[in-house]
Amino acid sequence: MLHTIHQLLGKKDTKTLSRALLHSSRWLLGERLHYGPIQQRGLMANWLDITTRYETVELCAKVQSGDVEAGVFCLSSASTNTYFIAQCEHRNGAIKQLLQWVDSASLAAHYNTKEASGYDNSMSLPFWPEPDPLQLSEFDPQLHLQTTHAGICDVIEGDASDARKGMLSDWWQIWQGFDVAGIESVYETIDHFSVNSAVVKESASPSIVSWLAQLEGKLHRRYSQLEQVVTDENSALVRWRIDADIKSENGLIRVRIPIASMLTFAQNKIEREYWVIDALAFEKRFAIPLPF
Amino acid sequence: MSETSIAKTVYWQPLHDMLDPARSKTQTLAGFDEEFVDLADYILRITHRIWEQKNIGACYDYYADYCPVHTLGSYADSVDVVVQNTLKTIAAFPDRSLIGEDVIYRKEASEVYYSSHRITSIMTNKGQSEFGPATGKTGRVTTIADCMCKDNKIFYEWLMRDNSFLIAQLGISLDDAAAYQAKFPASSTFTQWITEEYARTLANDASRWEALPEQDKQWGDFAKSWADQIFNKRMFNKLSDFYKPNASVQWPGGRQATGNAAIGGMLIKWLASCPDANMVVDHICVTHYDDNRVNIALRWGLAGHYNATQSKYAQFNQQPHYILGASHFEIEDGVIAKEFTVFDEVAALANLMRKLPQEMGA
Repeated sequence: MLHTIHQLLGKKDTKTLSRALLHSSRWLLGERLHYGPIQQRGLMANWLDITTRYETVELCAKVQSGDVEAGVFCLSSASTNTYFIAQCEHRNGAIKQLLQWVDSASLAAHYNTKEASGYDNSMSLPFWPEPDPLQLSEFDPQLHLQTTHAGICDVIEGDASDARKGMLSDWWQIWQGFDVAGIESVYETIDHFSVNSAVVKESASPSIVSWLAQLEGKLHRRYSQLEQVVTDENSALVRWRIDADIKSENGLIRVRIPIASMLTFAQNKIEREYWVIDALAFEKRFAIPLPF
Repeated sequence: MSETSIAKTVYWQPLHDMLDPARSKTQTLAGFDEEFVDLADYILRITHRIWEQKNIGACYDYYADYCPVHTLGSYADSVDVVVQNTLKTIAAFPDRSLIGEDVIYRKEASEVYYSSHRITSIMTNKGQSEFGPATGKTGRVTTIADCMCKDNKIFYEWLMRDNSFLIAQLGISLDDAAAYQAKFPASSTFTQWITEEYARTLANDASRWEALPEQDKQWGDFAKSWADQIFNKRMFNKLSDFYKPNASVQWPGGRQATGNAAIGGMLIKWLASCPDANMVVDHICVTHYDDNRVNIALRWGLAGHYNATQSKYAQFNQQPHYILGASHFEIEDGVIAKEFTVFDEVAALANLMRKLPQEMGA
């Protein structure tokens, strides 16, 4: 059902998507769940406004397993690429759940350059949703030996060989377990690695090692939790989150960072990897910017 | 159509199918109108008629004249009051939608059907409400309505709503909303009910509900063990016996946790506000979604003595504290994959302000 999103953005087809949504469908954007035609039409209208500011919409990669389909899209203009990831739970033409994670910082920066002169608040979008209320609780982030922590094999959905599970487990060990040495083998053949539309590992860009070091260094008492792993022969979507303390002018603040990572594979190696984090939702929720 | 496929149909059905179900009648529903094909259909359609079609008077068709309705903040037992309260709520939130997320139900003795209906509402606060003056803001709220039904009518109801999540979106503080509610004196019937429920729960005396069918007894044991091990014995190393490693849990006020570490942290923090709490499970329903998934609804009570985790509430320390709650579990591979727990934190704080419940004999 990703084609309904593609048609909405590419052909301004609101009808097909509206027909696919149920009375009980939910649509996540900006870390807020939207229900019902009033809210969902508002989202469609905003997306149509957004797409007028880009020249093309491309589906870069997708994954399908059972009722779940997900893809990473690239909105492109002459000066900007903005990535977002969409995930649908669907059956018989009906969409029960549509989840979107958008590089909202890139979107806002591009959107605002098209605004009238004098509008210089580049990290805001007038229509970006207020995130749902969230109460975080403190917990022990240590990986004690006798406690249970989700691993790839606990959460993976879809057909995956043992080799694929092993490779994804190595990947998770890097990002959850701070396994810096593992980066070389997992990422040795990668063509593309982007975090919020910024390509990592290009010349003059921070390396993957630097990116991991930033995560570990700026997110104190970091705990990474897998939510869902959807995989097929060619790709995987990993939904995960980091709960951590970050330093602010008012001391340490407990935060949560939802992350959607889409990985594509070639010869059981990661070929391309896209991370999307909604910076505007984070800033609205915690009243501080992302620390990286 | 089996009960299993009905549960799946409810999950996926479009509105037009919900209002005119194509599935054939599978429950006898003795005493109910012929149009209803099963209890889920009855609950979903009457809810739509009353709330979304605004046929408020249909309450007279679908509620018994005498129908006790319990919430953590009030008590009513007349259909006239049900109609008046529905009218007032729609006046305060005129676009309120009631989206059925799940109906978990079972048939009990004497042609009684018990239903636990989880609802998501989107609603814009355009009039004076139970939380104070109109804010003009739109919010979302989860409600679990447990109803006992017979002869086409609801004759007993427990209503749990996540009001602290709603008011956070409306821009109202928990303190202000609770203080506003506490200004209204509690009726003697409500005071008696909450005081008795508190004493019964503290004494670990669960309501005597009818035994589950043989195939579902394991889920009744599972739910009671969840309450006993986690809440009563505080054995948080047992969480993995009850939850998948990536289980997601929604609790009131925007508490949202995934995985055992975060779930444990959330529960420990919440229980610290009532560290001698005792929980009893007062009712359980089970429906089968597919071969590997069952949905469980439990209604529970929790009683103990309040212990402020924020200094501004220290004045309530050691007061009797009671929570009327409900949880829906989606069970996969024998453990919880998703949990939705609902209770009213606004009413709970208002009750502390009103010094309710009272210790028996006080």
